[in-house]
Amino acid sequence: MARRWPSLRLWRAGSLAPLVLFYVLLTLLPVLNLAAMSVSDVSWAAGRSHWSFVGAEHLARVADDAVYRAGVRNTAWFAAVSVSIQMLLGFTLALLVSRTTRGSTLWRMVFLLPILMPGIVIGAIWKLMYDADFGVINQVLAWFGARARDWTGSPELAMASIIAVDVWHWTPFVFLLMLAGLQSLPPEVFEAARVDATPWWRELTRITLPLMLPTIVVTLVFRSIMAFKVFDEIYLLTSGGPGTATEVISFSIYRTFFVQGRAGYGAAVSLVTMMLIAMVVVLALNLQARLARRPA
Amino acid sequence: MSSIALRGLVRRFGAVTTLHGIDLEIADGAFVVLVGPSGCGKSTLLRLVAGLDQPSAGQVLMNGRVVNDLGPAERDVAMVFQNYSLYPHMTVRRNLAFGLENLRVPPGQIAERVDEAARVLELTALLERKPAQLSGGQRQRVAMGRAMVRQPQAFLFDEPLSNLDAQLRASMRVEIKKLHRRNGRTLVYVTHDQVEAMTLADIIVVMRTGRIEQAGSPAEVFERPANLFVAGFIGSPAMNLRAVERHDGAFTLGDDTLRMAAELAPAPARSLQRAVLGIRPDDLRPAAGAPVHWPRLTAAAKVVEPMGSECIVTLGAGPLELTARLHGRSLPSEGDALELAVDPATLHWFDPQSERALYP
Amino acid sequence: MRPRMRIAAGARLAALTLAALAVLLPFVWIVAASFKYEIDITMGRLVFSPTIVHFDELLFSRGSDFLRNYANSFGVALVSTALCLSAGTLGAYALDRLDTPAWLRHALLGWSMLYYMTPQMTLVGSWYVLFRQVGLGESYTALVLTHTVMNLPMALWLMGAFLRDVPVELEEAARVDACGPVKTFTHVVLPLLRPGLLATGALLFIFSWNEFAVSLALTRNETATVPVALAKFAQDFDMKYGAMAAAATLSLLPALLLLLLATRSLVRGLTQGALK
Repeated sequence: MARRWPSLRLWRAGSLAPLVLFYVLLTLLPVLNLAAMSVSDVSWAAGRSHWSFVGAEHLARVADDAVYRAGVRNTAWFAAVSVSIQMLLGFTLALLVSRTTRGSTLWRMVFLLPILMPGIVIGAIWKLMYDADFGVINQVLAWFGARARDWTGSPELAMASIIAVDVWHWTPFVFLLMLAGLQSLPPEVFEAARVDATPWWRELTRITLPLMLPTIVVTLVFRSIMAFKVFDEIYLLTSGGPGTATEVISFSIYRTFFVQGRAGYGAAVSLVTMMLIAMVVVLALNLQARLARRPA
Repeated sequence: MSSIALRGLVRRFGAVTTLHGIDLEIADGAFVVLVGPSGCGKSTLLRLVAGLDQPSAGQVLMNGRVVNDLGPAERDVAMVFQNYSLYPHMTVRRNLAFGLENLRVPPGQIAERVDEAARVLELTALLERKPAQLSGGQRQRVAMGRAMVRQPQAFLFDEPLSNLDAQLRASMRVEIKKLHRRNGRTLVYVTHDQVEAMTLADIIVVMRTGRIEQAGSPAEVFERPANLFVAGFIGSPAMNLRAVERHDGAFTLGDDTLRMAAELAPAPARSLQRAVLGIRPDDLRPAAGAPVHWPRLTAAAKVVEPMGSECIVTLGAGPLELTARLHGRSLPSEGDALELAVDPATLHWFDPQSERALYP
Repeated sequence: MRPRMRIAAGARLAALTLAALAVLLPFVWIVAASFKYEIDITMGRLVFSPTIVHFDELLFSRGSDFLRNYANSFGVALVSTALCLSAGTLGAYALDRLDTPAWLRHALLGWSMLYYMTPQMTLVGSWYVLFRQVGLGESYTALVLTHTVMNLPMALWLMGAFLRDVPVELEEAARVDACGPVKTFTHVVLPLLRPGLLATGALLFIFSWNEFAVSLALTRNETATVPVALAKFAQDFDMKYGAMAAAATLSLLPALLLLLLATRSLVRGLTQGALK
């Protein structure tokens, strides 16, 4: 091994290098840059940037920013409601369907479609459907004699409309994951339950759910993470409005940087967001550790 | 020349010590079998010999040279893995040739060796197939072929037969023995099956929890086990090991089921108050016609397992249970009272504290 | 029991079909819209006479940059996927099989997770400033590099899962066969990773193709990708619904193609991560 060791170390360094380089240059460095920007005013003149130190001015303003606070609230609310609905729908549908496996590739193709579409296209489709004048939804409502509504323009309905889009977008994916999970469970356990004449609700709560727990948790975590990042649909459908009804974190940051051109403040908002997320992660890890320690 | 020596080998994984100071000398050309229950460290030891793993302390020597720093290819060893580890995406021919290609053996020679190995192992018709298209036994032979073509100094086998069904296992045992005879290289073989060990080995190394309990020829290990563990591990059905007590100059087993004068025991055992007695199931013979000085016992046949021309009988006398192997076509019936005798010279005595065997 | 089971099976089929329709209908609707005259769309007519005028305008008119946008998207997705797969696969291999010290492994995987959890927008501002300062503002390079790093956590994670399906014993057998570490990777591990590479590559391509937020911030007209172009259509005051629908239909082509050709691959990739 001695003869190979120097080349093994080189090989290890070489194969890690691209990964490390990407992460350091494109994630670590920008974070440090954000920290620097958050305590400065950055302006552009003649293609070069000019920095001036302003201390904690930006960071202090974040705390007072009602729009940002609304953004955090909305994002959390959006994630919680949308993901819950998706998980419930996806799991229930998968449960109902898990015994039918005929033509499964066809079903899979159909249910894969929404997540393979660009978010913008989904936004565009629903923008057309939601349109107050000729959107399909209002048309169908008209057939039933119901009143046409302003889905994306009215404060009460805007968030619900966005959530509906997200549910449509991701439920098929959750469904596919739950289905794959259910179909990978050992059949012998269920056969034993059937021999014991177990009623369906007991089978569900005592057997299916506990066995599915790992899959459910992973899906839940991933979907929640992705839901926090929501941007495309908001941009296209509501632009955060009306007012702050659908203001979300990503959109706030985008607007601050690229519409209002306030790089320093935008950096401060970004940093605060990252700290909030870090806190959530620490809490979650803590919770997980405590649950793991609990006697079964 | 391919002798292997292990000096003070220790392997630790964090806080757990898997091997406690192994010392072993393997002569050039010997067929050595490492045998023991799961977790005894035999596979770990094999990997240290192979060079796939590094010892925490101690040395591995080959032909007198310390090879600790050398990898498996540099030590010139070939290995047959438990799950064969054939390259799934390569044909059988490529699987066999891969090692030789890496060693820059000229293509003509590679083809020669591959064809020869295929001929010997009856794989010629399968050379263009991929492992997925082969049966378990065929895959096993390809794994052996891969080792053979390397013409290494030593062969290492890691439980190669445990994934095969019984019949295949028996025929593959013969193949492996033939391989060894054919090329005369040192062969180190790991198994948990003591039958395999007994039939294949020149030297058996019995291991338990990271230590060598005994190393010797099959006959040695069978007839003169060094301690309780080896005695109980080698031999099927297992040796009967029961506690005996000394009363009035005689050792008694159970409720006076078996009684024998202390003089019949080997010298080191005579003065003991308590001992462990080992009786091989084969050594319990029908009392009729047995010499007078042979200790006798009477027990009822609780369970009779017929095995063709012999049967395994579980005997019961009070709380005591013994296993006996009786020959002859006529089987006792369950419940029959049997009178059996045993030659005191075939008895094995063990010190109950140290678990070591006591020989005269 | 038989008839009851058949009813249950029928109900299940009905539920599936309903769900499938719910998924397909909007999609069908917008494809239909791309073939309708503008007036048919705004009047909400279900019956219409088809036309390809929107496609014509989109692809061939002088005022439309769509073909270039399409090429941009394709180029960026291809290059970033290649980079991402390389860095991710090599990295996953090094972390899992090359004796990487535990602290480094935890640091990289931990940072990967942490980074994945933050919204892209938090870094975009910094990216914009940094790229502009090195003269790469709004360039293809900037887009390719950012797309690569955005997909790296997923690539690392997925290829790690596929890698774990390749038994370590195989690499040990190669070692015994005098195979050096690099050759072991290229000749023994990589061939067995091919299905995983395809599955992951397909997903990464789609994710890059669909990416909007970062592309919006880091491109200008010449370097704009398809989603950005689409957003412009949807934002115009004088909305050209037909053109938007046509653009949307065209932008679905890669996904559709991959769906038809590689469903199993895609499903394997997506579920592989979740179930491990």
